[in-house]
Amino acid sequence: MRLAVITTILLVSIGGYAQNVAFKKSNFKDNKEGLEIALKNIEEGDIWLEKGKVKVLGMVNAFEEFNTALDYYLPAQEFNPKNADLNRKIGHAYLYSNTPYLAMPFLKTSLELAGEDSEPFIYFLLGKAYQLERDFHEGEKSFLKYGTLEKDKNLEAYKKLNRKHIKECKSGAEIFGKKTRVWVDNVIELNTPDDEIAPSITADNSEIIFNSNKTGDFDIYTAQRQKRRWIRLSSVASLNTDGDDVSSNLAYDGQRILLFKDNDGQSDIYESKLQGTEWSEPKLKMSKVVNTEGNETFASYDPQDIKVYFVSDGGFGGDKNISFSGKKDMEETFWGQPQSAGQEVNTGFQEGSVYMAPDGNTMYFCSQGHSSIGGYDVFVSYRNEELGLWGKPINLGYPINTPYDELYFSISASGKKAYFSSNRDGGSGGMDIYCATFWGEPKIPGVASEDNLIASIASPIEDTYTPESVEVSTANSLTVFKGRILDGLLQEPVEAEIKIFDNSTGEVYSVMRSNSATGKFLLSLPSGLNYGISVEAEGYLFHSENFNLPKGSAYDMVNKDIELKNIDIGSKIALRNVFFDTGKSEVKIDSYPELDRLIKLMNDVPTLKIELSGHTDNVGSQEANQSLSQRRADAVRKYLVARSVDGGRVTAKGYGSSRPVDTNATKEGRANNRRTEFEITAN
Amino acid sequence: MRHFFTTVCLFLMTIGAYSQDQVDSTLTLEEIQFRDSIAALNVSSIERQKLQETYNEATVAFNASNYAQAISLFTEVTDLDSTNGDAFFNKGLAHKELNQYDLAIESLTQAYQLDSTNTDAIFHQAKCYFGKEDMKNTLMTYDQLLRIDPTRAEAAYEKGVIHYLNQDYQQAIDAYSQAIAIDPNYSYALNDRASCYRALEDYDRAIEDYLKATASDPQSFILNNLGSAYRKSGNTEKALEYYSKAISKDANYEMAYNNRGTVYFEQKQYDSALKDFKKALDINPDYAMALCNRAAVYHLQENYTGALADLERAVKLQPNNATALLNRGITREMLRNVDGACDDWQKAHQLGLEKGNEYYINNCE
Repeated sequence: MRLAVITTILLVSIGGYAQNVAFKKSNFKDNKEGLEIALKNIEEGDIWLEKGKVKVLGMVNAFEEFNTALDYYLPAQEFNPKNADLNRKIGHAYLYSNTPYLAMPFLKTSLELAGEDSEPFIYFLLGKAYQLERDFHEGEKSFLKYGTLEKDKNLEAYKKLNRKHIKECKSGAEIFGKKTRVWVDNVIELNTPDDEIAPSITADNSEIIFNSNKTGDFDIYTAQRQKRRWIRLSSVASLNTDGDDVSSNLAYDGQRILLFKDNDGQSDIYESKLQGTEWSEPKLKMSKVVNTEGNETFASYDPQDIKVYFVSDGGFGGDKNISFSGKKDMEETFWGQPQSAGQEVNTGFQEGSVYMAPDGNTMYFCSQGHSSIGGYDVFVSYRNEELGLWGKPINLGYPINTPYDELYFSISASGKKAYFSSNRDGGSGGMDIYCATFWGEPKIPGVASEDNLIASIASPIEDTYTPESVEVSTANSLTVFKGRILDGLLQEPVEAEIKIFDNSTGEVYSVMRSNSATGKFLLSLPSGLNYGISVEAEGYLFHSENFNLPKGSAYDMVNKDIELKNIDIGSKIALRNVFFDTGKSEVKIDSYPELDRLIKLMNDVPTLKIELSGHTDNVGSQEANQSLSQRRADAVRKYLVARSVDGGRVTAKGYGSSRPVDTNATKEGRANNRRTEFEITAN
Repeated sequence: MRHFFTTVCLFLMTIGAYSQDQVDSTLTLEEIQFRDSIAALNVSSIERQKLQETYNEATVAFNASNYAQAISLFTEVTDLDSTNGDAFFNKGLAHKELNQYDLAIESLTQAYQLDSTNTDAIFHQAKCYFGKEDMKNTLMTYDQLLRIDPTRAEAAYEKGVIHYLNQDYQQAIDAYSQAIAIDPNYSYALNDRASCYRALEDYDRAIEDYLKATASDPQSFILNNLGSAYRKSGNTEKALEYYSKAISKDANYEMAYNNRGTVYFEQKQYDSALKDFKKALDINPDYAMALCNRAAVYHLQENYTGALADLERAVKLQPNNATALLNRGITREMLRNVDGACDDWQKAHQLGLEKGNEYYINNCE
């Protein structure tokens, strides 16, 4: 059957532009037998459709009648999917079946096939289909159109319903515009393609009891909640019989249950108690005063356990209303006359179920009336404790309520979870159990700030220590410089003043006197430098020379005996610390100390006359050497005269290389031959 | 380079008394002695040069952060010259850089014993005790330093930090006050003392000190702290002003953006808050707190997928961030991932957030 339905829908959807094809022989010349069967099916289907319509007009569910009608209509539709009347009828039947969401394509096809010849009733049906699709605007328009087109007795019959649906569309438009802080989920672990109805939970939401007709009749099932899932689903065997057994309310503590079942052709309310792990045999809950010859069905305990609220056929038109009865003795032998839950609660339409919340002052019930947006909706009413009356019901809104049926609402003590049944689209089929999760107060996510409260952590103090290097003092090794000062002629010790000069700076490095008895002197000098030494003693010409102390002579000891010459005419003294650049005759600055000592001698011995002589080695031409030696001797004389030495006391003469004092064959010898001398010419 | 030459020369003079084998019969005994002393001096001069060169190599290694090599070279110096306080000091600092606190303390102690004017050695000893988390000796050493040199404001400051970290705010205030008495413009001490007052909820004094600190040193973090103090005192306008000043001072200061964002959030100026959180994350994409905060805005704007993406990242960065877990649970709930939400709330509770327990019990049981 399901395959046929799907095939039919497919055919409807692809055949939208065909013309109306009547079920007549001329259209099916080749399949008269099929036509005959189809017509017979339509005829049978019409019978069930009419039965269903009667129930609908009586505000009673007629799933069975419409489902049976479909069983006949759909094979005929397969035979001829292009008949406007049949499409309308199928749409009609679907609308009041357990799968109303399948109605729309057939209704639209019917309208398209029949065009202006469509029955006005198609607009009523389309209005309802739009309503189910939450298109309340189009739904209302369609219902209004039906009201204007329908003139016959049909309108009279459907006037009440048409008005109701227009009102539902208005409510729907309003309610769907509001956000409700709730989620609704299909409880897939409990649902089947058949009907699951009347879920009822313990106050702590740990156990659920519900009913399913998945085996044919309605039976009672139970399941336990673990890790947010319903598990251990099982039939409550001790309560289930061959007929329909329907639980309606599990006591808050899970120890008792209200159910209803057939009692001589009508339904009465029973109660079973949990004894250990088994439910006791159900017993009539209330006396015959309450359980009338009419139907008493869905009931709810009262938290104080004094009253029982229940649904019965107690309305003025026999419609289902909510009533209650209170027990008159603790043994529950006597019960009060049923009383209506009040005019605020009961309507001229059907009230489908009732559930008293654990607080005792909140009633959830389902009704087709009030501000329903279609079918049964769930409402809540609060008791005015002062007056003891139930207040104006409030529609729980979308997504709990839809244009479909929502029934059998029960809620946990925390108010966080609720369960109910609905035949809305998107379910497993038929009535399914849904769970509503109320968000409660919004959970506002927190924001966080932070600070760097400790400065040295926020901005660490720079602690960069940089050790400084030390100046490396080059290891200037010392050389022991020792010697004697002797009379040049007598070879006797002379006490003399000895000055050592650092020729690189011209500064005196050390001054000492030689020993008068031995003529010895001893000192240490850093090696690696060029030194000048001058020796002066009274009655002697001063002596000067320069010498190098090479580096690395850490253990060297230099011996130097110096012979002083008497200031006698003819004595010649070489000025070893007078320097010229090669080939030039300008006296270099580092010669000044030596020449200043000569000036001092001239000043000390005013009678002294000297000849300054320049000497070269034998490198180069004789003429050039002669000229250079003369210029150098002149330059020295000029230095002396410029510093107040009487020019008459000083002569200058260049001898070139003619008077060597050493060999010209060696480097050292040539160095000795390059010299400036003076000779004492008068004293 | 204090005393370096002196100590090296004196030391080497003592070991340089070797005589020259050279035989010179003309030398008197005094001359021989003189000659030998000169020879010894020459040896000492070479050794001194070598030590100086080793010392300099060590400083080069130290400055190149090659502390192990620096320690080895400074040790060569101290092995030959046990009086070289500088080498001991530098070796101590190198050990400190390598978190070898005991060895550092040993070297620094020798450095100070060799040169009692080197109070830096004591300061760094205290730092080493701090590194060892030996707060008792840290405080004692800073006290020792302050007795020797009462002008060492930083010693008093560091004492304050330790007391603050121990949440002993009154003692911290005393120590910071000592530092401020030495240096009235000591901005760090003023900032930290303000933080102590803040911890004691004395916001007026906190603001007063933060203001003084910013007057002498308007660093962004101090401006930010001032903003937070104003915020805690209930003056959100001033808070915004100083967070903005912190940002003006340092345009990349993500913390100030984040904090300003939270003020906007509390004022329900979600667009402004979002802008600041985004900026904080532009600067530092791994800023978990800003991710959580941006997610909070997204959540309130019903951009749950955006919120979840931020929270997932925040939790990845900080798996034990209880607030991130709590918030992710809230967002997951709105995305109908109830199991995930319940897991998050349970973890948040385990990490100490009572709100996690509340949500778990009310929504997951």
